[in-house]
Amino acid sequence: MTFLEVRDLSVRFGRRQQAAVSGVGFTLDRGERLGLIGESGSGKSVTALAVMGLLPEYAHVGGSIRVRGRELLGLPERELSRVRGEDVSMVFQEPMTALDPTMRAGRQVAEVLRLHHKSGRARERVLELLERVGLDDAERVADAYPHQLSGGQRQRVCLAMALVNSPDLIIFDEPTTALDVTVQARVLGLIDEMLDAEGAGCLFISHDLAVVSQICDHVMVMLDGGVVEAGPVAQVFERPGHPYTAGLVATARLDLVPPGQRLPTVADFYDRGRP
Amino acid sequence: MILRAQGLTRTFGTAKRPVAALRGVDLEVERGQRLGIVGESGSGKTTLVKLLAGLDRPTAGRVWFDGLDITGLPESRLVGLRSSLQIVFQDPRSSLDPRMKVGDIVTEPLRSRRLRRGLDAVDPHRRLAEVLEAVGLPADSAERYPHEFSGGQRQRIAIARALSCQPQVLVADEPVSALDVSVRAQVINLLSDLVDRQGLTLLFVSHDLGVVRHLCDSVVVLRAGQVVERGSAAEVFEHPSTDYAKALVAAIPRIKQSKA
Repeated sequence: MTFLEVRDLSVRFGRRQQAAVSGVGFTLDRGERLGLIGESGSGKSVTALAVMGLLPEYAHVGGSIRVRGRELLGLPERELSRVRGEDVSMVFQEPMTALDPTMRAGRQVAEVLRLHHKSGRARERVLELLERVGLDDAERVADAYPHQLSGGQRQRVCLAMALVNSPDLIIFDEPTTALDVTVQARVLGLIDEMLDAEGAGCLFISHDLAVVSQICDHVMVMLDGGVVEAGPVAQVFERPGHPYTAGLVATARLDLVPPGQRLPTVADFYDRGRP
Repeated sequence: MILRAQGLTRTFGTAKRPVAALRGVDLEVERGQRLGIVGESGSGKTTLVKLLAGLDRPTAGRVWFDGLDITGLPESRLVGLRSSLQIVFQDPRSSLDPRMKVGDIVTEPLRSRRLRRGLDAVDPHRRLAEVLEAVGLPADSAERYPHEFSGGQRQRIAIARALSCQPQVLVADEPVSALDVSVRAQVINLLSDLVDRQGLTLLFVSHDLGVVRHLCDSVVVLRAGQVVERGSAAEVFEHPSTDYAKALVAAIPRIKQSKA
């Protein structure tokens, strides 16, 4: 059965009811990896938050979001929180704000575990996971507060939290944007490895096509709240069908432009019709 | 030579537990040079830039700007430096005062009493129009507030402010790291253009060697507060000699052709 099915999703905010997302639809099978790209404000994060049921109360969500055939929209918070963390989990962009600064890292991972399984032996499982996400000194990290960890270590802790209940789908919202390129490369390698090992699928949000191409096999391009193009990564990036996608691809190919020459911009390919 | 640093060392922390952010860095920047300063977070890039800009005092070592030893000079004697060297910071959401109109932000350096003494008489209105045009912002931007602009446009505002007092050196500290890849190209094109047209000297700080290679002619690579490699951008990019520089080159995000 299709693991996640999103149909005709629309999200509106505020009194003016401006649509942040409209008519978005996609499906994800177990183990599938879908990238979601587009510029800031295109509706990527809102789509992800809708799937997680994490949008604020004043958001009006329409359409359908099904996990294993079960409709999530309209589900009471108690039921929803069982899906969240258990079937679907999420890793956010900024690990410093995603973690509670007053709580030791290990306890935060354990908390996710305890919320779903009422067993006592959390510490062992937490240490095991911290080791699996490449933290060599798991004991020390578990006993450290977030501010005592580096950006890369913090993001590994977040990844451990996302993995702790072996979910079938992990949503990544710009997980490496706040990191250095060298740390980014290591964290991406780890994500790839972990998804493989767990057989989990992912919805991977990024504005960086290069990053998406490292992780995903399919990609969906969003612009102004709608999907303009979707398909296998190789096809979309090598033969983009929409001029906006062509522009995105061109801006990501810094390596193709001789140093010192003018870089291509999205506007060279696609005129948004606004200043 | 417009900037020179010798044996720059900066130590933070307490006497018992000192943290060496910069350890004996020598640097020479020629007029018109485009120098990239690269390294991981914590390697000392920003500390180095702050010392060169006279925003912090070194624990040891000296800095010369245009032949003048600026090490430890009081603020009142840094007038020339303040107008000649301007900085664009990483995140325009925090570097622009949200309660000021763009016009006031951009002309604030011109209204500084100290700076004004060092500058030729400039008409703030004319200068405002000039720099807004130079960075590609519409003239009516002056009456609006920073939050009305996108990230890329805000970085243009920050660049316009830096240019308003006609600096000779432009320091850009990770100016595109907080921006979308699709906006990055516009800001890099703009910087490159401005540096060319106005004959500026550029110090460009970044952790992304790919961007540095594109914009800069020479590079210093910092690691743990020391320069571990320096040379022309092409040389360091194509034939990195240290493992650290090799790792930086390897980490540049590239589009993977087809994922099996």
